[in-house]
Amino acid sequence: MSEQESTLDPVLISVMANRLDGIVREMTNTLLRSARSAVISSARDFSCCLVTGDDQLLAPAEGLPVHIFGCHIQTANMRKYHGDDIKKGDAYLDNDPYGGNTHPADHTFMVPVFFEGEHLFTAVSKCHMADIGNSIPSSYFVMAKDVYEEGALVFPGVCIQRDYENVEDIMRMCRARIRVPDQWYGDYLAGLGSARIAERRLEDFCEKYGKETVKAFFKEWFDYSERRMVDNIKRLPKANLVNKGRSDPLIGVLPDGLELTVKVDIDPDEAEIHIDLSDNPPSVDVGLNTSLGAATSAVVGAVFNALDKDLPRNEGAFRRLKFTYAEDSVVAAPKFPHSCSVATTNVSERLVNITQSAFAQLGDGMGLSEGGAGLGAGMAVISGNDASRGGEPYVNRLMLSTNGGPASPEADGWVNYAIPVIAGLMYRDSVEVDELKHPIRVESLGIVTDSSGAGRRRGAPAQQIEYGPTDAPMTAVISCDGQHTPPRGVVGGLPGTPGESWKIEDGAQSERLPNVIQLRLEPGQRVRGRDSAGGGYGDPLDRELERVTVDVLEGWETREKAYEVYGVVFTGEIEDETLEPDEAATEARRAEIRAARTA
Amino acid sequence: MAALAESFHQTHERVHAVRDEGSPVEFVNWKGRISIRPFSPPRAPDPTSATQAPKPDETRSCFFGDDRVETPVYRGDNLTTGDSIEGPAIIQEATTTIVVYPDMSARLSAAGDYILDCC
Repeated sequence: MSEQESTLDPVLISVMANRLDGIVREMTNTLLRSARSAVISSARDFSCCLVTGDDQLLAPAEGLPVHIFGCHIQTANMRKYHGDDIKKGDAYLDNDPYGGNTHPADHTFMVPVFFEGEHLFTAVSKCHMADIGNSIPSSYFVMAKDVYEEGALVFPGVCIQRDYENVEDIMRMCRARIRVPDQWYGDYLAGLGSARIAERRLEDFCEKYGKETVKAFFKEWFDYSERRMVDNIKRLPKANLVNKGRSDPLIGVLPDGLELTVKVDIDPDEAEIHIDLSDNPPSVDVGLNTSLGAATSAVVGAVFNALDKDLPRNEGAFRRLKFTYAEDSVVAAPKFPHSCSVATTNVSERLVNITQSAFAQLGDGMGLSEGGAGLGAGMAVISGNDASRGGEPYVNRLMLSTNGGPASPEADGWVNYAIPVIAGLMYRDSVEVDELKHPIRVESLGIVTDSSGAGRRRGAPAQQIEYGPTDAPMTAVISCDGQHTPPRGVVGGLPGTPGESWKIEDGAQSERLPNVIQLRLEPGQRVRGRDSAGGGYGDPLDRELERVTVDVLEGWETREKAYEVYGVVFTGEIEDETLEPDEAATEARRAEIRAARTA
Repeated sequence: MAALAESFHQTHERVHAVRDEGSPVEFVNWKGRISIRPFSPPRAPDPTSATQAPKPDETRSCFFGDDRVETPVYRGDNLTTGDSIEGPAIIQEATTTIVVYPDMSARLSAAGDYILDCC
């Protein structure tokens, strides 16, 4: 870390840093506006960022937490593979989970940006594709024994444009294997366009400030970010936190699920946080293995959740994080040819929860509870043939219902949280748009009363969705990891309720489905999916009467749960608007619950 | 048509940095800009002009408070400048209905406005 005097005006540094964030937002806008699949254009399952020419993460703006870390490894591989052959006008595609990428579904488009002949930046757009040519019609394949059974086309830093023209060989390869190739091509153009927009803006940026100032800015901005991180870590207590969690079982493969361990060593003297991920099971013969990029991103995102909210997330801040990995592990160290098909979700979701709740061991006021986890039926990948469009095939990842967010020391959980690795940054699909795009009908979608993990601050509730195909059979691939081990509360908070999925026939629940399933639905049949709810933070008996009253009036919690769990006694009725908390009776009820606990 | 499609591709390339000439171009919205000569301004209301009481087109039984009153109904199309109507009455326009309450009056001005007065 540099202690020497800054050579740039701090105001200018701030202006330049914000300008770069603005460019990333313009990249984001390009993808949202021009992508073809709903998973990108509606649900925002993509991230954009800027990396320096020498592979330091510079500006991720509002990228998804699980996409951020690792982009610098991908740009480094691009340079390693292509060396001096990298030229202005090039673009590269990378989705290699063994080379820094998250998982094969995330096609990462990289555009090297030159100024006065020097490679100063690489603009990166990482997009979750609706399909990537897997052996099943889903970009998530939990049961894939290895990369061969998974079947994804993998592009390790492959050149896809030269002199601003497509390398048609690569386009033909993708079109030959990826389902609904025109949809992929539209998403490719959107991802490429996003990086090309950044190229234009960065050239203007360099033109305006000059190369030397831009280079000085890199150094100053990273050093400033590191100083902020040092300051923050020095204010934390010295501690060695160990936290464990468990993933859902997989029928016939992992009957007990996986026990996962994260160790966080906070060293305020050295101003470092050391994260040890090495104490985890070896790679497994399914698609659950997490890539280095995905697992590290998950944990880094959770660490940032426990730090100051406005810390810059870049290479400078990362200098203060140290990692230990195993040599062969389901966490961050997959061994080829093990599959990382669902690296960004299932195990990674658990890693976020384990890490952010570990910080709660430091005491009330620190860390977060566990957030609702699992890609339930509302986040399934659906596919089939659309009879209303002449039998044309369709495939898409839905983003219609979401898990409930975790509670913090100050706030109740966020309702539209989705899953821990994206923490509310994605968008929900519109029911109407999904029904227009695909031959499906959503029968119902709502919040489940009484599902929240209770606490002084409560987790967000679960959501429940029911949908099915309209006039031709549909395949839904559900890859849920949130139905057996529910999200835990911390500091006395209670767990949220786990998810469930059911097959519906003739309007009635016919069959409880396993958490991971490739489900075929005939017209008339439907799937009902309930997501999991966030855990609570702090003792529910400490929840303010006003908050419990609002919970009951608005239907988040019932009057019965308020009495049983929060110990709040009401007089009057909701129906005639006379409901009031009875303070004396509540105090007595809470004393009774406390006494029963110690008995 | 070719020029129109090309201008779409050019705009797409300017805003989003790529063009996809293989896909059909569909225009979902059109925005137009027109210029016109302003209408001649409406005549100013003439407070001195004579007023007259028009004939109602029908009557209808209506409640005003607790009282049921046989109420005259006027169709706006049939009214002319200077027509003055004592409440209770109803004026029916193509796009709205004006209730003239008891103790009020309505007068159609030269500019085509209904001016409602409390008596």
